[in-house]
Amino acid sequence: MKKGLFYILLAFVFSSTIHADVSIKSQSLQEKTINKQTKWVKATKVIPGTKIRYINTMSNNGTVMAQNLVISNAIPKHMLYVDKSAKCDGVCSITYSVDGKVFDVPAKLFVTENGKKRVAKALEYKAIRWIVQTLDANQSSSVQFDTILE
Amino acid sequence: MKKILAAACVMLLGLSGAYAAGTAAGTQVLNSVTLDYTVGGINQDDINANDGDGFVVDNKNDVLVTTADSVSVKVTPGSTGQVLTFTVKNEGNKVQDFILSVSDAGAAFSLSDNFNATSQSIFVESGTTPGYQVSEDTATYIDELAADGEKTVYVVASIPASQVNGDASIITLTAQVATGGTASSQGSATVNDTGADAEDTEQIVWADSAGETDAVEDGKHSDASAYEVQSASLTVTKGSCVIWDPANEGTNPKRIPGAVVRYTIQVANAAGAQDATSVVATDVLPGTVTYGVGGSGLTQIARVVTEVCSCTSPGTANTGNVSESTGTVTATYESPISASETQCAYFDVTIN
Repeated sequence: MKKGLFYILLAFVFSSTIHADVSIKSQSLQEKTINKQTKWVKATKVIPGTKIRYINTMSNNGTVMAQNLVISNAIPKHMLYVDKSAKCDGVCSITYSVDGKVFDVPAKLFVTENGKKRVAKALEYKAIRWIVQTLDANQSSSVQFDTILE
Repeated sequence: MKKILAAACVMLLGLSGAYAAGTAAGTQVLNSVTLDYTVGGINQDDINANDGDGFVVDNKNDVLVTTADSVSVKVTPGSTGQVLTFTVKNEGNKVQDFILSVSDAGAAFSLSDNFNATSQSIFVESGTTPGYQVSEDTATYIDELAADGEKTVYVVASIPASQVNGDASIITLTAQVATGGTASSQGSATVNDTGADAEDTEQIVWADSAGETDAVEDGKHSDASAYEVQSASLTVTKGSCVIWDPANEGTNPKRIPGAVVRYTIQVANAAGAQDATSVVATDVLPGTVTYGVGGSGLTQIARVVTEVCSCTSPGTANTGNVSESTGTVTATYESPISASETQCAYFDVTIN
């Protein structure tokens, strides 16, 4: 009895101290020249043609590693993806979608134009997906991509 | 900023020219991201996040003025209602009015400006009949021009009568962005919002390029065209030779009473000039001569020939273009006297 209770208590303590507390936040930034230096600041003065950088930052505030992190970001309405701008901290795989459902590498993304199938242009991407294998406890990692306001 | 916009335009046009004006001012743009992950092989609940309220698209003020004249507009001295043509395009992302003005400045068609056309007025094409129509095109500012919209604007002026062939008057048209939204009422010039950026507020951003006489991002744009005077450029030269006298007759005659003197009035039109038409020379004879050949027995020469004067070889008559009445000779030249052409009027008189 005492042994059983001990194991139950041990399991409870163990489970309550082992967890992954993962969060994500998103920022939209624009370039600004301040004192002759170019910096990325919160996007506040945006007209057509302005480049906007979106940075999504994941944080693991828990005690165990989070795995197989899949970050999916639809290209915001009125924005056009800047080719090859998607990045991540460290190692990740990046795929794109032209319909928001199927993701693949650029060479395997197709659209139909005038009845003919062709490789999609970056401007035509509807979403981006990053896959990060691990995020250790007490670590943060970011992914980003650039767009142009139509 | 300009490089970003240029690159964006290249990207946008590659997709669709319909997006040239861009996203409408006041549009809110939001980003959403979803995170899916596992812990210990167990799938966790998805996490969603937004970039707060995103941002509101600001009001891009951008205007382009372009002359529609491919060459200078040729005008005649003393003419009125001469028209220069421009287009004004709203390259911003909102309906705007545009304030129009002209100045005697700028450069156009490699001409040297040396006079100012007078009575300059600006009128906007109404759309009823193409081309400037004095009774239809009466608006003096552009009202409620949509994003990507374009209007034709005319500058109408007069040419002083004193101008000569080759004179040029360069005129610059400037369009300044003004507040739109109220039809038939000219809005005030917009003010570039240089205050603190506000993500949730539609602010005004001047984004125009430098024009003929204005700077980059100043809320306006300009371009130049020119009037170029084309007229005849006539040189008149009078000459004479004595062809007979009572003593020597036709051999080395001298200018003595009774001698016959032949007058020539040569009119030459300069190269590159306009045709001269209805050219008439009048010559009041001095009291010391009498029109005609007197008692010399010669045949009176009174003609206009389409060649350079040769006093002793007056050529072949074109027509009876020379006449005399009460001591005044009138010579009517062949019409037109074209550029680089010379004509000569001959008539004989007798020294009293």
